[in-house]
Amino acid sequence: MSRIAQVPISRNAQRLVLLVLLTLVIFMPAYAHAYAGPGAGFAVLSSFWTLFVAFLYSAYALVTWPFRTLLRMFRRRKAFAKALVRRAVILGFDGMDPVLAARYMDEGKLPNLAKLRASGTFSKLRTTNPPISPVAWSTFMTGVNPGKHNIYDFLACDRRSYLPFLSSAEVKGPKRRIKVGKYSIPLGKTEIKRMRRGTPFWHRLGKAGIFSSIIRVPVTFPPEKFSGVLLSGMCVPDLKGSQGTFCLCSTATGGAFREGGTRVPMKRKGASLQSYIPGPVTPLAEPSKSSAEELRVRFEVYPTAGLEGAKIVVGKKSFVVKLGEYSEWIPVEFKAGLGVRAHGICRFYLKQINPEVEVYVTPVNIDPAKPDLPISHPITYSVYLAKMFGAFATLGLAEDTWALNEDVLDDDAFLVQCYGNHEARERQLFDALEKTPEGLCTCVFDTTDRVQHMFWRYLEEDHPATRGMAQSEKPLVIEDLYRRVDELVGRVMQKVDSKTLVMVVSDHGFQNFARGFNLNAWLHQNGYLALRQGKTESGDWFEDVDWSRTRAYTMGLNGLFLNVQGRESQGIVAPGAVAEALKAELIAKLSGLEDLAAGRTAITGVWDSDDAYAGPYTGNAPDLIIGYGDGVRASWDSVMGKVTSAIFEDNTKAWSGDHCVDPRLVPGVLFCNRKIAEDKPAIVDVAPTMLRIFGLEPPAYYDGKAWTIKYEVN
Amino acid sequence: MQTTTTLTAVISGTSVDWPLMITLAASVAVGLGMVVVFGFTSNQKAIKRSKDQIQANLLAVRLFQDQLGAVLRSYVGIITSLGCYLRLSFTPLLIVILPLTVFIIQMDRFLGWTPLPAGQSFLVKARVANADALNEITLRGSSGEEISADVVHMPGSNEVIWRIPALDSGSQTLKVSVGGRTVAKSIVIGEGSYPRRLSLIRLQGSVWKRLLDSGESPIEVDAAVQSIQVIYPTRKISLFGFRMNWIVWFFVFSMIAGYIFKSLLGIQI
Repeated sequence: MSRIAQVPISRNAQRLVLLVLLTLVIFMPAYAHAYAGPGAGFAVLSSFWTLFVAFLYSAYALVTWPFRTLLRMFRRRKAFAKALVRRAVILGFDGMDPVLAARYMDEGKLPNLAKLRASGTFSKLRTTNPPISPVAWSTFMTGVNPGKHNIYDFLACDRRSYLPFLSSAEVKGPKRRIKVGKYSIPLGKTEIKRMRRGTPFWHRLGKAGIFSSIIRVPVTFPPEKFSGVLLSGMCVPDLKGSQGTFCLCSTATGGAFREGGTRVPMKRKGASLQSYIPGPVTPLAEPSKSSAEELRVRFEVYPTAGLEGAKIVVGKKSFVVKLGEYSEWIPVEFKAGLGVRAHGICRFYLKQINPEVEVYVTPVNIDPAKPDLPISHPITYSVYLAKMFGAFATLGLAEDTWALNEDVLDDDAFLVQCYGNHEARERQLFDALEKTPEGLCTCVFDTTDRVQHMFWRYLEEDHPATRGMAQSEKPLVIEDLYRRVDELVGRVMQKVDSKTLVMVVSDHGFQNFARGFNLNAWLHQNGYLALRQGKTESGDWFEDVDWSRTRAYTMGLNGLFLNVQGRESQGIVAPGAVAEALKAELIAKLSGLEDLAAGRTAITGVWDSDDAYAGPYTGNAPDLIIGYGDGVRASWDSVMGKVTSAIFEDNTKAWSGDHCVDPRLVPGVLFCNRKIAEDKPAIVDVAPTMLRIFGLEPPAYYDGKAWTIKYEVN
Repeated sequence: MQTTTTLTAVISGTSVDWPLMITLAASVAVGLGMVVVFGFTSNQKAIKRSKDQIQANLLAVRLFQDQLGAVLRSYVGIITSLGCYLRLSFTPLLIVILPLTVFIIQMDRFLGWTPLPAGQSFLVKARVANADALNEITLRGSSGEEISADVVHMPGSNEVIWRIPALDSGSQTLKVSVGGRTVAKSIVIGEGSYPRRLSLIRLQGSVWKRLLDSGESPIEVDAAVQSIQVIYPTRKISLFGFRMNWIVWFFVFSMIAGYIFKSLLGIQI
């Protein structure tokens, strides 16, 4: 072999050849040759277009710059004139528990939080009654009690139908339609009604010229207009309009899921298996028609030769998923016809491949890059985040707790999903920190809540869901969670300067959920709730309840309602003295109720909502609020308006920790890098405190009071 | 309106604007072909990522307009991502540019020029190696008859230009003689809607130069005549009230076709 042949062509030589070719092409003297087809043509054109748009915007910015700067200087001077800090960062960790935090800090497992405790503040943070996330975060942002912001639970009760509806927002299709052939075409936009009242404190900051970046604070859907950017959090629906409906596509047959998911058949066809993702009901049919067609996206699964994974084909997109792993976020389009389509994203998890094939598909999230409903303010903010960092979960309750509860996902798969979302949120937080050098930056992480809900069973010695399992075998999932939180706080502290005020807050703490209490069953057995003749139990949503003989009922997690004449459609309890007497009777009977079998106090407090709340929306509140004791919560059936024979039951589900109990048992946490001189801080105080530190006076109607904060840096 | 007329003409087979039809067909074929090649030869994921980054940074400029630092960082991001995007488009560009260039040159021979109109005069230009040869240069027709014509000698550039009448339609040959050696050059005279392949020049020289400019065999290296050029009228294609060179329509239609095919095939460009 010749010497030349032995020498491999170097990278430089390759580059030289490319350069020569390019030079030849560029300098060939014919006008036609400048064009190299649509591929390169698009590249060049779109590059110029981008530069052109950037140039246009720069020109606009340059021309308007003096005016904007003057205005900003004026507004900022006004806003920051009395401000005690230039920037405040609030890290929200939903459900972070002060007892666990203190324990892990004492054990040296949370060094960054311990540093905050030592140099600043660590305290319990009094929560709302009931201590439920949408209630507590609404109070956090509005500075008022539920009687003024109208959120009492995830669900509210329709007093006419005795059916539940989502308390935070209502999504309605356009009222007017036009019929064209088989289609009923909506005229106008989908209407999204925000049920939460009150004004978030960042709106007040915005009016004073202070910019805010707000990420995933619960009950911010639909997003409202203000001076800043906001990504909506808890209560954003999935594409079906639900709060999260997964699907399990399987060749095996099985029963329907209790809630939160659907089972979809998967059929073999040659080398592939075919199934579909159920989507929303077509918008091109009358919404009242029960036969309205459900839109679907079909997909095919091709198991790999070694059965270690499968290729999945969805529309034009194909990808390979390994057994026991998730795909990335896959865009899906539900086509209704006439060019109408809904855009979503979902992830596929290959659960099983032999002998049966099972693919779990997450709830179809609204695509943040093409949002069919507004999930951010401005609407382009979610597009910006999606383009900058890739697709991310937009669903309010993005972590699929139902799938773990129904054994569709195992612990590991659930955790991978949780921390995937958590990491996406972290990227958004750090971007917001960078983009908000002055003003307010707030980000709420849901992972703390979901992981504690689902893995509390491993903390307890004798939880019904892990009974018989040795304590030493139980994974330290929650400890790991707190370590991750601590590590994140450490990174945030490194990112901010010492002049920035940093607060870590949670809306409530956590406790064991070992026993379920069916309040409807108790009401039935104590003569307050009646069933139809011959019935000893009732199905979901009071299916077999005889309202003409029912005086009280419960729906949701902590509320108890009287069946009041003139308020409920079939009410029988006279308002006024009779209703008051009935409330007093129920408070007396329920307070201190014992769970004899478990040796626990099931109910440690019952509050009359007339005493607990004040404000214009108290009429929508339940009549009584039940505070469950340690280890007890409303049973799964009770929440869904079901009446069972048994009043108490063991909770054997993975969902094993909870906070929908007596608020005194589950305060949240408050960390701060400054000393806060307040004995009993409450979540309702956050809004007035934030206004005060930015030099604004909290409005008189606020129920919270601003804390005294020591601003010298320790 | 014109498109409808053209379509009707195609269907009926009468008065078809063949140059336009060929341009359209070539545009669609090239649009499809180039998009497919681009899809196969480019890093689709990286291109999407770059485009997303460009869009994200543009949005950031708007979203955080009052944060000067953020805006400046976004401009840097736009420039960086654009550079990355162009770099990623470079590989497929290199792969398609040579065959496409050859294709366009060949198409230009058919569509860029029209045959010499019969009955009108046209220019023939010859270049010789030595200015002395200009005194003995002669021009003859296909059958060897000497053509009398207005002639201009340009010793400074060793060129001679004849203005001669185009008489009979069809393919013909011009013969330029110097010192007993004759070099022929083909010409096409006549009307007709169907495009003919035309060679503007016959010359000595490199393969590249001939590839770009000539459609004929090279002149022998030792011949005194270096090149013979015929000035054909340029062809304009009319559409939507605009008369443009075919390459303009080709550019427009292949871009439209490319846009449609990239959307249909889900290819990132």
